[in-house]
Amino acid sequence: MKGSTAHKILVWAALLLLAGAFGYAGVSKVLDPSEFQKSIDNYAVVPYPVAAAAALYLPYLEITLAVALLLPMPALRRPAALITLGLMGVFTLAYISTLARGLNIDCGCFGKASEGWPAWAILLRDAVLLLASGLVLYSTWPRRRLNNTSSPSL
Amino acid sequence: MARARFFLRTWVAPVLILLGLPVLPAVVAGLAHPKAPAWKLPELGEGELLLKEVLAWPKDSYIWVDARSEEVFAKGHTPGALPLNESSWDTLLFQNLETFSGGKKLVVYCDSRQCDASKGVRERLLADKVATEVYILHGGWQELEKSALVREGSR
Repeated sequence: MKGSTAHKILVWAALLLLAGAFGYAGVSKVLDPSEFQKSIDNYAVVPYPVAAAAALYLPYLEITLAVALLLPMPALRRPAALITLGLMGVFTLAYISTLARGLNIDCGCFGKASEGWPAWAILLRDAVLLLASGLVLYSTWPRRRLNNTSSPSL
Repeated sequence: MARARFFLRTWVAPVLILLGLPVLPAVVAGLAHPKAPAWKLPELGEGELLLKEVLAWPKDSYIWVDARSEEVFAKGHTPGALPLNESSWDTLLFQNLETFSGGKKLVVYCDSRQCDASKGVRERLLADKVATEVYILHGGWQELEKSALVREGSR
């Protein structure tokens, strides 16, 4: 099942979707970190200076993850999938918390390109990216061979 | 021991490498980017007031103006607030024109301290000469929530 053609196609689609989404998100935010800082500040979960640091660091992390996902190196693809899964979990929870608090904000996920998206569309997109991260992580999960070395399927 | 080495080699080290790589470009961007973020909150903008300044006024001398969408307004707003946003400007302004132009101070708020909707509403109210004293609440709805100056809207 894990090695079937359909499974491989699905995993590659998830990989490309994830790398594309994170790469685009990173590049769009690298161009204007001050605008991204406003978006983070609107979530009202971290102090202003932390929002500034996150606004500088996160875009480069997203670009790094996009590159790591595309490189044919399971040793990098695996931790990249893990980190993207963690990041998507945090982003989704943060957005859900704003909805629960009655805040009507733009998620800031893709800079100006994500302005005006309705809440359901943002949550659907997050769910798809979460699933994609999980699928890529599962496919890169190391399996121990008899000689004690690890071998991922992707 | 072998397990721990495997875990370190397979997960910990690569994760730390990936998390560490963006640090240098982030630091360089913080120092050199023309649109680098500010480390301190900006001073009050034009027409902005703190909540405590508004609350110091006599209660019947000002009106709250809610610049968020009608949907969000309906879920909850400050007591006595009137909705007015740029996407339904004509309808909402016409509904309460007498109140808006009745001579009281108008204090506009939107979702947070960084949202631009209240600036747009303030500029239009002044440009259309609807009112002469229009202010923006610094911190917006988030500030009002913290002060418990909110209630559920009618459903």
